Amino acid sequence: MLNLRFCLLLAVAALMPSWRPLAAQAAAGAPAPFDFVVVANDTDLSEVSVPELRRIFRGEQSIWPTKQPVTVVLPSARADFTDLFARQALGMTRAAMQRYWLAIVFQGRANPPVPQDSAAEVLAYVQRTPGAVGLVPAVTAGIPKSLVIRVKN
Amino acid sequence: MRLIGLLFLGSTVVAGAGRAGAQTRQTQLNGFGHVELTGNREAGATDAYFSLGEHSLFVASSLSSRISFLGEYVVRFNGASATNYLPSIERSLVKFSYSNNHAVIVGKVHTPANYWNDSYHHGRLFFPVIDRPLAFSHLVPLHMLGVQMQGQNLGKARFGYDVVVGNGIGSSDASAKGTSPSSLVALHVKPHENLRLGVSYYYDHMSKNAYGTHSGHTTAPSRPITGFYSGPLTFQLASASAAWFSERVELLNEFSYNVSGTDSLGGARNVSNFVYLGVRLGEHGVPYAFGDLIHVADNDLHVYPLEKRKIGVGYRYDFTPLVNLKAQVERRSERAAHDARINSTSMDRHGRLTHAFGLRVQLAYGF
Repeated sequence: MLNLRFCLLLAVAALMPSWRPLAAQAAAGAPAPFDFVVVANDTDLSEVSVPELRRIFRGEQSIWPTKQPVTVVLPSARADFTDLFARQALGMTRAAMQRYWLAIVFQGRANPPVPQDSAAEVLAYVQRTPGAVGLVPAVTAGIPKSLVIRVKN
Repeated sequence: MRLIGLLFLGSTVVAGAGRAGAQTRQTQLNGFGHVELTGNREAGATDAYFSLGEHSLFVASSLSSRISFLGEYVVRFNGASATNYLPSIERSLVKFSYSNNHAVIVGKVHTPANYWNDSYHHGRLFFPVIDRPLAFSHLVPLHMLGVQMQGQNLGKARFGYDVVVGNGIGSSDASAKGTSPSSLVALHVKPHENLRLGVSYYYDHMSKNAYGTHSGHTTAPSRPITGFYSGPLTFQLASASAAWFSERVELLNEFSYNVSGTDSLGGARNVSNFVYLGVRLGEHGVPYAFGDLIHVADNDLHVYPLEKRKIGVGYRYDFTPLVNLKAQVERRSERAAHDARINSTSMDRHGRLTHAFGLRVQLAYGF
């Protein structure tokens, strides 16, 4: 029992510092950079905030207001913007993003995401798939305006 | 239908185009397995050996825009089998998402009684430590076969619910005695992305006390099955989970309180608690510590009296999201019977605590 108490104390002590960066961020109030354009097809969204985006790309929404199922499009390991995507869209590392999605699909809590190897492939998939949502780097050329969802500051 | 070879999560996705303009259908296949090296010292004897753990094949398939299928099929060692291995269906369910984040599920599911059973189960790759908590071998009904109502990520607090009605502990996947189903209500909130808090209540009334597939595969009473109480028994389990998994700190506490009631001996009050703490160092390494205990009362006629404790420290190294290595040192204490009346050669008749030390290494992988 003594060991259990020791573990609990350790847990509380270790947990406390992890709240501080969050509090510090909130106090600073500075918007994080966001270097992506949101593209989606038949979702009834005209604009979306970064926290809302994060929920979408964490698989926390299953159906759009248009009744289309949410299909999350993620950059694959071959894409050159996967690290930036993971950090800015999900607030985690690429490996953590992969662990996270592997876990929630394995739990049956979300449908598998659709990985694409490049921004062009993300655009093409979203364009042909109602309910699909993805991010492409803001520098991507030829983004169809009909797919773009504005990001609220 | 075309096959897309993906490297995103080591998954294979079979995709088939539906009608023009419709969502692409997908089937994702994953496999999980593990190999262990164990060193044990107990009662003056030392053993060291390798073991091949259970291997599971996981299938997730979108059948339509609202209907999906999920299956998990496991092959594990079984000395009674002619081939030394036996297959089993661990999950097989069809999910209908009838509105945003609400679904009806029919089939065999992991009982969402607590965080661990809802999140990990056969995927050793996901386990933060080498073993399941002790309660999973005795108290937690691992599976239910029936109907589940599920809601998740509702509102700002990301509220979620699971209500399941299905075959009970003493049933099989093919039949059950009587008409009394087991039932479970589980609620959780995720007030922060990394935090999940949950509670649940499970109820099952067995007209004949039994151990069955829905209680779990490794579950066995601490008494020879021939001397097993076979009268009516009511099994109630209340659970509470707290899980914090951030990129730096991992914390999990699983608490269970169980009452198994019989007319002859009344309600036996049993308790278990598992606590885990890990701190991620960089991208790959997680040193961790854990404590685990279970206490089953002397008048329990389902699990039968026992007391187990386990503490340990270890180190998990994630080579990739699909391969990790855990090394763990643990000390186990066990009092298999409080009551010397229980007659078994496999347990200490005087109810003394016995101790064992273990050094274990587990390589877990997904493919």
